[in-house]
Amino acid sequence: MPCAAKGEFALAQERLFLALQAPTDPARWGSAATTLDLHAALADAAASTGDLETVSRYAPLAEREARRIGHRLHLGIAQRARGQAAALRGAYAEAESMFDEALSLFETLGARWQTGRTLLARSALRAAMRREAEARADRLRAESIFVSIGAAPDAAEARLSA
Amino acid sequence: MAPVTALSGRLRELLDDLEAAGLIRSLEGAEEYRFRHALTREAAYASLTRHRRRQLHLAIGLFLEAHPEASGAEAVDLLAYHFTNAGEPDLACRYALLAADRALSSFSNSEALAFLQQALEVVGPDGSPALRFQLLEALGDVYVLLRKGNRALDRFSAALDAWQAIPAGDQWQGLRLHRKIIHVSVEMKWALEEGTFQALRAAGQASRRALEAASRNLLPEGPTPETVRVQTVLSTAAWRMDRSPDWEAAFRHAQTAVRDGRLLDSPEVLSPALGALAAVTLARGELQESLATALDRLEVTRREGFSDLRERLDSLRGAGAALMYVGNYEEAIVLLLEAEKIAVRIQAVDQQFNVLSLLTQCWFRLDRWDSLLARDADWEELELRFPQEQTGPICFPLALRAVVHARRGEAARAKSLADRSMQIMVSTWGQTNWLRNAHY
Repeated sequence: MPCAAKGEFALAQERLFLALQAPTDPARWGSAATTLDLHAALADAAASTGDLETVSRYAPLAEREARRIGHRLHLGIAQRARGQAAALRGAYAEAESMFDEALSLFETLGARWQTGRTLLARSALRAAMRREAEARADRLRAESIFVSIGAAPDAAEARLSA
Repeated sequence: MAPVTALSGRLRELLDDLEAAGLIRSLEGAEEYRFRHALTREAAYASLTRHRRRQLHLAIGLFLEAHPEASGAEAVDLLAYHFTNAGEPDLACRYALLAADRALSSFSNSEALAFLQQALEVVGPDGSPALRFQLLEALGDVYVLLRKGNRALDRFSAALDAWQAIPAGDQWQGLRLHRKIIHVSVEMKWALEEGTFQALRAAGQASRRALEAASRNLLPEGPTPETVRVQTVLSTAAWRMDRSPDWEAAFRHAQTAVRDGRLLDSPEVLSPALGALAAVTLARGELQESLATALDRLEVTRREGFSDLRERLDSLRGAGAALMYVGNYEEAIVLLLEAEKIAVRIQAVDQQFNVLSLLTQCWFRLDRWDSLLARDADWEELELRFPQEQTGPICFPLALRAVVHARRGEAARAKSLADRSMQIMVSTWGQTNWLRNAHY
């Protein structure tokens, strides 16, 4: 089991790997996790810890299935994870294009926390690309979104990343 | 009263005396009297011997039976009441079943339970097996609606015993009971703690074996509503009753149920069959196929003349869930809010929880934290009022709420919800023996 990452994301990943191997039970309570749910969550958790191997394994699977059935949220999560992995590899243009697609999907959905997270990721990328003004604009937008939805820890993180 | 007691002239005098004494009052424009005080009525009733009371209840019951227009829509309730108190097993059973049906049609489940229970007491443990069978099966049905799985199982098992004691009992009645026992055991899975569930599981497995044997030997070649119901419940049993689900068998049974349900052109049996097929396709990862089936089912329950509100509610819940799984949260929310209104109206507690759980997930996915948190109080009130047997395990929505509180930096609240979620998971599945959903 790939487990290069540390902390809570690593624990989350471990659980998700176990989930992939466990039988499902589509009970009425709406808690059934589809394979797409798991692939998207794995890609997301792995991207947050820089586990490129896991991202490269699960993000394309999530992307393909999400495109096939038109699942915008999971497609956005997969694309953001792929963008984060591309950024870590230094493929900045590819990363930015993926962040742009993810952002567009989240904005269409109205998923503000996901929008904020993606803006913050793109801000870090643009800062690395020495596009300071655009990085600052993304960061401020992210912070504003986090404040508006009451995401205090993320708002603080956005301020700290300035 | 006059035709009842045959005391016409003397009765009038007695009633006048009682009215003069202030114990009763006549109702204007009608040959009807009421006690002025309930205590007076109780004292008068208590002064009669048990034998005399029974005689009077029987006389009144027979009068009402001959003159149903005298008591209007509530006739069956009164007939059940009087024949039960008259201690007449046949008549008590006949009218208790009708009164229970009437109560269920207005979703008065407890009232239905009372009619049936009282009639069963009149029949007694050594009474007619045919009467006991009818009353016990009806009682089991009501306990299913109330989601009291153990009690439903007790009644269905006792009904099975009674059915076996009926000389030349109808085989289909026995099969129907086996189907209902399986249904209870699959419905209650995860709603009860593992230890408590074992009795249900054992009974369900025994009935499943009986039904599978019958489906090979007894069931006729052409479909009937009962054969469709049997195929539907066998589909669910194939994945819910074993530790390793048999998805192929589940799919096969569900497909047969849907095919036969369409042949019969019976929306009432087709809808649950489509529900079973949607569950199997979802589990197989065929999300669009599952959605198409769930929407097909919804169309069936929205047809003019379809009157089973419980089934319509389940189809709305199913379609909402299927939309959620393909990420179409907005449309899912519309259907789920419609389902929630019906669930509240018909007091379907488990569905209230199911629907609120699905809504919580949709709001969570859309980052609509305000909508999600606005229902915190509803969750707490429902959780206080109803045990897990009636609600199903609510660890997942608890976890989602915990995540939102954590994302808002409300660590103590998040931890409390997360701990409670974990507590439910451990009590339901043990420390490690988790299914995919629990890991997720």
